[in-house]
Amino acid sequence: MSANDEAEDHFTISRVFDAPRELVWKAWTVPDQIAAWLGPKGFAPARVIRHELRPGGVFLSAMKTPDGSELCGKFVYREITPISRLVWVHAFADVNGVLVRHPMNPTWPMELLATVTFTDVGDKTRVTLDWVPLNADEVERRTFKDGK
Amino acid sequence: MKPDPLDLTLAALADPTRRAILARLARGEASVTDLGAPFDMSQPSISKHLKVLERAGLISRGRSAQFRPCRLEAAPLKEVASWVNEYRRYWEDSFDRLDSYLRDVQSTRKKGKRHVRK
Repeated sequence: MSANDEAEDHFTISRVFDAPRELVWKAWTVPDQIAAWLGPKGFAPARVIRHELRPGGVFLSAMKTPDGSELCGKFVYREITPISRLVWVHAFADVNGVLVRHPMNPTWPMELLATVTFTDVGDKTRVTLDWVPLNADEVERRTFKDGK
Repeated sequence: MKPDPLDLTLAALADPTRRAILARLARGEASVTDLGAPFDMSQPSISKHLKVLERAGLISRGRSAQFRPCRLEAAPLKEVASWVNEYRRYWEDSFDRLDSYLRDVQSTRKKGKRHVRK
């Protein structure tokens, strides 16, 4: 498995948080803490179904959709380097962890490789997230690129 | 909480039968009977699905009581398309929430432990 290398395939977002790195790291790796903030506005906190913080481990969290059913975000961790780097494969899944297509966008890539880095900026912390389609075909890559 | 239009659209799209109905309507208007034909489903069940789609503004229906053809309405779908593509907003939203979460945690800590940062 390899990610696409072209810079234009990547989506990157970065922000400095007014908190020490240790605390920010916890917010990304302690299940109840991630569930408290990850996700679009207007949604209730996610329900964490699985959380295995180790390479190959799975983080599965369910969000209630407006019709009451649940859609999950699934991370399969690849790399965990405490307080500096997290890498996982990101996908949509059902509550059993079986990968599903994006419910509203059938040509969305099945899997994205997410890389999050944490660096000190004085006593604050910069978090940078990079997303790139994984094993995506041309149509999926275009769908992802068009969304930027 | 009153659902916003996007919530209604997403809920309507969350069902495979309703998506199939919309796919059929993308090829032109159709009656309830036409729409029900490919599914092993009673007419009342199909009508129920149509009501959900109608409430979400995804379809409109003719006025005649006997034959009320269904038509696809594209506007809500366009809104969904732009919403799903804006994953930047997903992360901006998440980062906003993370920011206030971290503030809360730190202010609680300061109060709780009388911890003062330099």
